[in-house]
Amino acid sequence: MSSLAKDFIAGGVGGSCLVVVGHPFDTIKVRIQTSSTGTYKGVVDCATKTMAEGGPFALYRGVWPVLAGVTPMYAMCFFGYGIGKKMFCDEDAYTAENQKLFQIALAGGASALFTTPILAPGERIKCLQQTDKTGKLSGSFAAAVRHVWAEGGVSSLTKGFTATFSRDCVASMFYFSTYEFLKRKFGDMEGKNRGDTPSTLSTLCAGGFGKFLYLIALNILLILL
Amino acid sequence: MANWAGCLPIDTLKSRYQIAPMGQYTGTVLGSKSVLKEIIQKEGLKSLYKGATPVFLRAFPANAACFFGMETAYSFLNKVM
Repeated sequence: MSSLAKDFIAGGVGGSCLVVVGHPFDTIKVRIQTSSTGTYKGVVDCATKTMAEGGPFALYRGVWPVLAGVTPMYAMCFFGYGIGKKMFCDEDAYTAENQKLFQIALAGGASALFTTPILAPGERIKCLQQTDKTGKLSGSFAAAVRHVWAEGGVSSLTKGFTATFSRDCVASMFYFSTYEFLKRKFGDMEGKNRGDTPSTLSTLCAGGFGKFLYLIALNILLILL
Repeated sequence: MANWAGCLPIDTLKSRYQIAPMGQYTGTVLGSKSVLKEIIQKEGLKSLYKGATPVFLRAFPANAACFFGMETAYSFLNKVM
């Protein structure tokens, strides 16, 4: 099996794990974002009310379009990242001695060009399902797609395309550069020789902390601006 | 990366825009009837950061799970094939 095929499958498995763990938080996020101020007291309050309203699986509403999009999304994301590397990165951009984080960030940003066409329609359906009060959309994915399509065809389905692209471009720039930076740092801490493959533990930590750190950095930056 | 979750203010604008009926807004940022304009006028800029707590709570477990799944799949595939 070629290494690209393995990347594709492993990316899909990783993405599915991310969705299964992350989706309840995402539902809470979308409901808080789109609620009028004062509707929910906080995360726990929102979770409780959502489940009281729609049963124990209410937090997993809208999960199917996300899961269905994850495998091709991950493939396209790494494909785009690969193209971005060729466009922006010097040969030595990933070496420990000479890591070029800005070039890695640009390569990461390029991945959004390839993910947004797949992700934007999925995001549109997902947000509608997560916040649906009528019960008409939260049932099946196909029903939700038909509803959106009937409303305005392609333009309705791709509503929010530019916003999705802007969000993912900035997010990927931070994500890939922070991940590569932390992977190197954790590798240093474990006393690995430069050039060795980092251990699973440092990959896990870099993945977890990477996302966390970039969220903090990004929001500090935005508050300052 | 299905995460999603990214740049929170843009994400809030996106979520609002995507659940609104067609024609309610001219866009997320631009135009006289944009989501951004309405939020600033009616709720204040702080509203753009709604949903920050679940984003932070989600970040670590979701991404650790992602890399765990990826590593497990890699080692399985390398063993089998």
